[in-house]
Amino acid sequence: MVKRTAMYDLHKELGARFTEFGGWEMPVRYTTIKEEHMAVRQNAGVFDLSHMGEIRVKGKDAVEFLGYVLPSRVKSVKVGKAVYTPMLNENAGIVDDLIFYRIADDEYLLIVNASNVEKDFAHLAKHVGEREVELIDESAQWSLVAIQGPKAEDIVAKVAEEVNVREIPFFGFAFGKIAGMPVSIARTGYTGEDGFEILVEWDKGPELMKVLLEAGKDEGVLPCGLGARDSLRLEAGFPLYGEDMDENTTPVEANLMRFIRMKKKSFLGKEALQKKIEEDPLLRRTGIVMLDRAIPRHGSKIYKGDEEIGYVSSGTFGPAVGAGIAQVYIPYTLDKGTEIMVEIRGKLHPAKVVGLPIYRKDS
Amino acid sequence: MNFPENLLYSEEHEWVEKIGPKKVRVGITDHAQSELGDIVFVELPEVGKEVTAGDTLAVVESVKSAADVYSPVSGKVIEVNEELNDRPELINEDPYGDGWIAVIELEDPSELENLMTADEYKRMIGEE
Repeated sequence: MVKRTAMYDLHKELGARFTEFGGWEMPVRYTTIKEEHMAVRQNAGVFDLSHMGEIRVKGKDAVEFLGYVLPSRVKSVKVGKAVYTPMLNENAGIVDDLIFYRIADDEYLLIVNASNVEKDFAHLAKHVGEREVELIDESAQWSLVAIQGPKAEDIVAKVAEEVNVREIPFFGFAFGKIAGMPVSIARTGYTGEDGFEILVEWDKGPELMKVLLEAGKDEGVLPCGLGARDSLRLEAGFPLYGEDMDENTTPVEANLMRFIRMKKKSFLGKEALQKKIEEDPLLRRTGIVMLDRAIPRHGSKIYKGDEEIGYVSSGTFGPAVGAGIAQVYIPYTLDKGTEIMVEIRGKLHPAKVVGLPIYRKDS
Repeated sequence: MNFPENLLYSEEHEWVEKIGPKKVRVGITDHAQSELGDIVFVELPEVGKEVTAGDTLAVVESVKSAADVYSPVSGKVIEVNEELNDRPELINEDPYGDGWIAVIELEDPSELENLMTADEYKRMIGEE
């Protein structure tokens, strides 16, 4: 059975077209992907992300446990701050990527990918061992609404009560109220723009989305679907789990080592990861821009001269770039600016290596 | 949505306009462009290409995905809309006019009888 968020009826009212994603029936677009994409780059967009999972980790040993099961900083993360990290298995393969909030000294909340909630929960449970840790899957309890774009702060500031959103730092969060509803407001996102991800009680999701859309009317806010979310995250260089990485990928190939704390004494997958670093795998995730109008897609092969050198892990048309763009796995020895060819429907099309992110605000 | 009475329609959402005894212009319907969303790239056939009804004639790409445009008739491609190379969005803006895709010289004009009228097409997509 395909699941629906609390906002399904609201999406319909707003004229959404739906798609299935991670077992959920989600809006793919309301108007057009380009229009929604540009609204986020220039003004603001509101997204329903309630399909994503929330797992609470708390108890006496929560710090030590998460410090072991996640390869990032954990213990030194202050209450009120959030961290992005991949989660690894024994082989350093990526089980999922997630954002965790430090709620209290002995309590964290993990925001995980919709399609991985059960897998992640089982993975965490498997490694708890004798530790005094409580794991709670709260995915059905929370609606998650993102507002992203340069005007997101002004819009949220209009409606937030009991919290000064302008003071929430990048990757920080605070509790407050919006239209009387208790919320957690985090300055995080997946678009490459400033913005917030707001947790609210499941049933209150539609009201929160309506309040944000209404508050942002004069700022040109638009409801945005997963189509724009995908093109925005692709331009911003963020990987999508299941497309750009999976359990056969380690953070070395996925170009996510900057989130890993190798200095930690131990964490799950550390030895395998150390070995992978020494192996120095050639193919690494990076970004390309097409030099003609063709559009690279997941699985397209990449050539340099006659030699096949890699593949596209995800691609689309990048509305802010104005060309086909892709995240690809190619030899890291290729410098930015190198011309390569992408095979699309049997024909080779020229592209240029640009690194990540693919789109930069000031460029 | 708009479905001109003077055109014929295929089950795969292409339209056909008779512009000569053996010549037709083809494109995709208003319904098809609306389903696809913003069209950002069109791969046109080569002039001179021989097509059989049901063959891939062109590929239109939206931000999200690529979709084949099937030739609604058999014959030879004698003209393509080069304008789409620079302005693929013409298909969204004017699917029956400036957004045309190709002109095909018909092998067998009686093939047009296999296509639908505007009313039949509207019924098929549930617009009526």
